[in-house]
Amino acid sequence: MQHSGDVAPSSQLGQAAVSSGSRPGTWTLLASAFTFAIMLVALYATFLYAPAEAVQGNVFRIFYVHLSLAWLAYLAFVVVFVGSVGYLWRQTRGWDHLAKASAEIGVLFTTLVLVTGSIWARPVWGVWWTWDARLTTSLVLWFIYVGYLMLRGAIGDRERAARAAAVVGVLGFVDVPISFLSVFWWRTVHPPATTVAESGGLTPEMRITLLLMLVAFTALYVFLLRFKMVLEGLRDSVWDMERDRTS
Amino acid sequence: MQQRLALARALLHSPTVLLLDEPDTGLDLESISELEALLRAGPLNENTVVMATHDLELGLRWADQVAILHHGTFVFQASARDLTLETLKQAYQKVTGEAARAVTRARPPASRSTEAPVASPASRVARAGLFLTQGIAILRKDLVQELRTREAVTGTIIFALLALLVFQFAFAPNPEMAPAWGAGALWASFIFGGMLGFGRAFAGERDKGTLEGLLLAPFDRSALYLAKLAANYCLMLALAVVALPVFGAMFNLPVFQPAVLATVALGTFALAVVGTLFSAVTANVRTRELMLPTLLLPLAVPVVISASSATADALGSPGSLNSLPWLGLLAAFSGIIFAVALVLFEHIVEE
Amino acid sequence: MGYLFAAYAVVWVGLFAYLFLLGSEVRGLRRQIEELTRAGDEHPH
Repeated sequence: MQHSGDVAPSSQLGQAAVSSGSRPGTWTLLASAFTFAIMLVALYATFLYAPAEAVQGNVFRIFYVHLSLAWLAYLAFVVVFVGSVGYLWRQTRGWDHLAKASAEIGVLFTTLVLVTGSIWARPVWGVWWTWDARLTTSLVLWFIYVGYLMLRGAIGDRERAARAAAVVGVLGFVDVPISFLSVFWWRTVHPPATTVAESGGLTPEMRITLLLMLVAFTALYVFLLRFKMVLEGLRDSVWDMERDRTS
Repeated sequence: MQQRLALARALLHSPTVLLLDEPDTGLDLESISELEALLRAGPLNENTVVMATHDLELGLRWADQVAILHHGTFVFQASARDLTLETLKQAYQKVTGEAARAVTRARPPASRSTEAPVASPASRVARAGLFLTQGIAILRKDLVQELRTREAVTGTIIFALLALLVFQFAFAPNPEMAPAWGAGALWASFIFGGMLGFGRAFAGERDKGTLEGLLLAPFDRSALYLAKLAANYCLMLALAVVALPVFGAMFNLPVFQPAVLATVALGTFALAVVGTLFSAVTANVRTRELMLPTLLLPLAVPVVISASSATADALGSPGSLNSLPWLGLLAAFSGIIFAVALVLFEHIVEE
Repeated sequence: MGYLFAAYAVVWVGLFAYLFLLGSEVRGLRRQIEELTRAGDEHPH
């Protein structure tokens, strides 16, 4: 698009971009400090406050980080959906950044969910993997959003990539509940070969620990999200400056 | 030289309508005179010629009617007899000036008044009729093309049957496993075969250079999606018509029962809904042969699970109603994804 | 328990690796912006 009269001088764009990124700001520092602090508290609770589990022993402590990561991964993908809808509706860069950042973090968290799930399964169920409903859906989720990121990478033009990704973001999200349902039914039709050793149930200390971990990871998610969105803003500036230079 | 060849090709079969795009490009003065003589001898007098040019003088000399297009709208139209080069130049400068640009953006384009501002029942019916006509036109084009070459349908069928063969060797099932295993193999073949075919819906257009034209034409976007979906669904049904009997014969399974047929009809539709959409999304992507399966397969998980479970149930216990919940899920999936796809499609093909 | 340690180790290694990645991306982008700013100042158009 040619703006014949209003080309922003590259230097102005550059100054703005760098300065907005380099001033951390009190808000950011406070938020980072809070995230750090609450994570420490949550970890203390996980290892020292919560009791060992009745059936599984100490290995059960993986549960807190596994479940927190899973919840945050689902939240991240809800945010991808929101960002995608927002972009399709408004076409502003901010929505696209939101979707992309959240997708990346979501994939990271989902990967960690799958790995911690596998590590947890080994001592408890004797197998490295189990095709139970939640793990399987997490795997499908992983593929959907990895595909999302791959698609973004495969399209060079910024606007077209954003639009294509937004479409996948919406469709993927709509697909997830149906996927879960189908996997769940499938599981009941084909029950697992070995009976899965259930846990004994959560004591009050465990519930508090879980809550703390959830809060801590939510704070971490928000922190990562903001970090990534600032980064995408910088990337946009580079894109714009390069485009202005060659126009 | 290229230009003259192109012109010769265009005039070869004495077209009723001749479209010229900057015909004087790359031609020297002598060739332009030759071209003019050629056109005046036939096409300019007998047929309809539509010419796009930036050369005002040339246009005025050759044409009967002159029009100026600005941002897709006719902002000026007059008979060539009523114009001189000077008046045309003035009109041109006037309509492409700053003021005109602002005004055109502000007011709704006059030439697109086929959309009635008030959605009266009559105009709604007219729009629906137009929508249907457009959709059917595109569908007919695709089907006629396919019937002529039979490339897509042959490729898809052979590939799907080969997949079944590979599965047989890879899994070597014994007879008791046949219903469950067979259902899985069948649907795996459908998906892999389908993926080959779906890609061509839009990528094929892109390769032939017709995708731009299709997108530029004032089609309702949804009509385009529906037409491509219908074409893909026809492809899947053609596949099913061949693959199902072969499969039934090869593995001695009772495929011709209502439950199986219903599952095939619904399952292939569900696959086509997602496949067509992603074909459009990946049409212009460099790595589209990789991206289409990468995007399609995870989202098709509910279809795979539902369809193969329903088929396995039907094949294993013919006449039982166990398939019904799965069919319900398939229907729900199809309905939801179809609705979402219709809404989203417009955003995919904005260029 | 070895598994417990492994699980948490993976999580923290993963998170820090991602943070490190983000950090280096930011540094790279900032550098690019500085270069482009300098180029823009030298050859204003």
